[in-house]
Amino acid sequence: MVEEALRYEQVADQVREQVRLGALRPGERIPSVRQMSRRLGVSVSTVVQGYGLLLDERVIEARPQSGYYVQAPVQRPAPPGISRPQAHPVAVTVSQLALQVVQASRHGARIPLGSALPRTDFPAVVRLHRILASLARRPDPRLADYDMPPGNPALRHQVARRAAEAGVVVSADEVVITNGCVEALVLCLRAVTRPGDTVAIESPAFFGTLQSIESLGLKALEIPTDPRQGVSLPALKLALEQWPLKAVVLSPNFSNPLGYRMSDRRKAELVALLERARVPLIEDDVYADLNYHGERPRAAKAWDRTGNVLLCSSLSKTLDPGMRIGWAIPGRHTETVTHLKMVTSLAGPTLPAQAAAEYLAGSGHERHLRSVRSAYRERRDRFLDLAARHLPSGCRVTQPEGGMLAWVELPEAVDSLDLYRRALARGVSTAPGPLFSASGRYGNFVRLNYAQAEVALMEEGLTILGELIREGR
Amino acid sequence: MTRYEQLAETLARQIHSGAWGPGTRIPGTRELSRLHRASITTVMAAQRLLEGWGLVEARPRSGYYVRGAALPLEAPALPEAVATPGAPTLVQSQRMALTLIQATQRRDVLPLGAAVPDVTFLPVAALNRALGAAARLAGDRAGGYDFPPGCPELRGQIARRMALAGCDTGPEGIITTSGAQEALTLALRAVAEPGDVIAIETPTYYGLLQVIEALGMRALEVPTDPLAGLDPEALAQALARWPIKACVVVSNFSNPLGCALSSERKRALVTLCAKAQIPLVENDIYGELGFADQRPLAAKHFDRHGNVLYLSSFSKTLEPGLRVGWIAPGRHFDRVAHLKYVSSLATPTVPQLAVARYLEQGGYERQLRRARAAYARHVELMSAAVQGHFPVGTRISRPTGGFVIWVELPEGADSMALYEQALSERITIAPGPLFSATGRYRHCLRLTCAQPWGAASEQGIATLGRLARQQLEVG
Repeated sequence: MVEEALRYEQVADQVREQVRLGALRPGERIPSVRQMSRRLGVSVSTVVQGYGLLLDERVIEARPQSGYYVQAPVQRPAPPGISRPQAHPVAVTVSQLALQVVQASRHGARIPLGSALPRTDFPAVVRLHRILASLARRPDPRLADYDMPPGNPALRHQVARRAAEAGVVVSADEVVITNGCVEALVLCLRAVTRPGDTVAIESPAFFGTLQSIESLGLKALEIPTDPRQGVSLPALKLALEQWPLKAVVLSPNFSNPLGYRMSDRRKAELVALLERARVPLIEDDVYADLNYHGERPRAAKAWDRTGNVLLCSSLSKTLDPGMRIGWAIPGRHTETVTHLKMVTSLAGPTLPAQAAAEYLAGSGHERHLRSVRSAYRERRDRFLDLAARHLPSGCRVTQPEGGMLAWVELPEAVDSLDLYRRALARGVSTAPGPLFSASGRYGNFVRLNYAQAEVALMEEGLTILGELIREGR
Repeated sequence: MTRYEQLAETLARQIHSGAWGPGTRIPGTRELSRLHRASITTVMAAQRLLEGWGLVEARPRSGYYVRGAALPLEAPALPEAVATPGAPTLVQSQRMALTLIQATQRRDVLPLGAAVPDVTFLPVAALNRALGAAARLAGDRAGGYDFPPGCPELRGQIARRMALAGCDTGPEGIITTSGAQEALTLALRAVAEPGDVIAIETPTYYGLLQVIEALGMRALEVPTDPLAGLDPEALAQALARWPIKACVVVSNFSNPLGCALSSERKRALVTLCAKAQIPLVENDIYGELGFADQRPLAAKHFDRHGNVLYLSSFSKTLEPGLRVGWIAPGRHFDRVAHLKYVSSLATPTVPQLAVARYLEQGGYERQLRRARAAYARHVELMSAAVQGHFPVGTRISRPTGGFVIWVELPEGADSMALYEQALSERITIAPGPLFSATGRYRHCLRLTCAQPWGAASEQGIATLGRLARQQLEVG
């Protein structure tokens, strides 16, 4: 499978490189599938896969009955460049601002663009709650008792079953149910580190993870990260040689906030690199089911042969955050994580876990995921169009291929903390850039959620942000 | 409340008021049906409930009889208090606890080990109705996270409960958590660091020792009187000697001793901690399960500086599987809210809404009265059985609330070995060393009384007594 992955990525690489060098210009037709297949000596389906990747990345576009063309980059803002974080570990000191930001998104703001909340108006959410309500009528004393770690066996079975979609083949015994993905990440971090240790993270990184790292007394080493390719492997390799890293925390599929997707080849390399260095990889896979094109991307853990990857995920982004159903697949740290779960919060709530198990055992989840994916993809397109129209030139925006978040680079003179306050005063919540760095970077960045607010509100929000950004320059 | 529950309560009140003495037959099924205008099935369900509460016993082809008082002629001797404080110790090897709790889910085991009430004592039906309603409500209103401090409806209801314990925290001082265990973890992380010394009662519940172990802190056991509880004098001496960073106490009906601190002791403890500027973590999870009518005050009632981090949950009073607890962390509010956010983001919404709804409907007070009466009764029955079946010289705690007893066997008995032997007879117990950071209490054990009382329980206690006697004979 790795070989196959290598080939179609080579196809994409070649076209990408030609576009970068100007050998192929915007609007020019690229070789047809058959031509390319002959030229590279690969199968037609490999080329189709490679072109699919380029379509996803908006490097090329398909014109019906004509072929594939290099896409004109004019109508959409350009994505930000690779990050250049601080080159040494720092004690994390993100302020309590984060909690204010998320609370503002839930309660304070009329136009909530600041949180990472999913839409919850899908029929599947109602179905899940109906199952919960019907369980409450079932006279089974076990449903009142503690659901002790590792947690509900039926739910663990469903998690293990679904993990195969991510290329992860495990038994239910290797799954630990947690109170959402954040608890899974914290338990995994606690299992492999001691206070004072250093862990490597992508940069920018989800502020919740940064704060968990801070709260455990760990130091964070931020690794340069490309908004399309993900964390820089050479930089990570260098960091491993230079620092006594105890863990690496990454989200290879549609990371928060960058939304990048690491290629299969790079995931395999990443896992091999960390295996050699004997440094555990804590993989946050919580957005991976929200891919807009093709197959659900595989988790890095798919390449794990030694139990060195601790996979964390939840139903919070795909189904219902309030249910707090998450899990860890902690590889060879399963026993430690199970024990830590017990001593930290004893058990998860019994009924929601059983409800989630019965919901996942039903046939509707895949259908639900399909409708979420297409709804979010449509929103992404609307968002990018609106951003191009309302944000001033000089703003650069990521073009995520999954998830629900965009990372926006503002003109350098704009202070995103100041923007956050002024926008909130006008009812728009944003997540300011410095939250996403252990060293106070990204002062001129914001993260925006394009899934949660209705389109009309989103347009109003972007109009307001555009005005404020122009004022702020 | 259903008709049969109402009837059972009426009859329970009559039994308590002495309408029928111990050993007397209560009116028969038909007669009760006529007297209370209830159907035969309702009466039979009520009788079964009374039996489950341990108030009556069925005699074949005769009817239901009020259980013998079973009051021992002489109160059993109390376990000895630990006289000398030890040095701070790293807590280790608390993994056995998981086995104990897991045993409560097995039907082929008499689970006397974990402090988990049997569902027959819990208002499962009413709670499930509330859960069903909450699930439908949460399904309709857009979901999302209940970020810390948590569900507003529930915090409002909790504030009312806390007012009954003499605390005027208000909803704005409360953070909901995933049970008391998470609240305790958050409290200790908020006020202490790995390596720090935490003063605790001894014996104390293993959940606390586990948190201390997992956080890499050290425990200092402070002498505790089996009737009066933690001794403020002894704590003052310990404070003078060790760099203590926090003190954790179960102020009402401690686990395993079942004793409550007097108001004077609570005040002294709060004052002492405030003066020494060390935070007091108060676990009040059993506070509503006292055998007396009046709910005792919380130590936090005497707190003037926000120095007490008060925590509790509904696991012992409503349902363990809900995982709804809370903390009122005083002046550590912001730090605890932040830690909650970075450790688990939020507490599940539906269980919070369900508890809020249940509390709002009323009926909780009635449920508590019923549970308190049942636990008082079961503690009595269990104590009498232990006194009857255990070796001469066995000492038993005299709890004034909660539902566990602490049993001290004569020196030479080994509760760890007893645990293994009992397990092979399908009985779980909680062996003494689990309750100490320093491996004390090898000859002690804790028993849970919140199990339906019947022939099997009596037999189980007899088996434990036999095993203990055999140990002493061999030894």
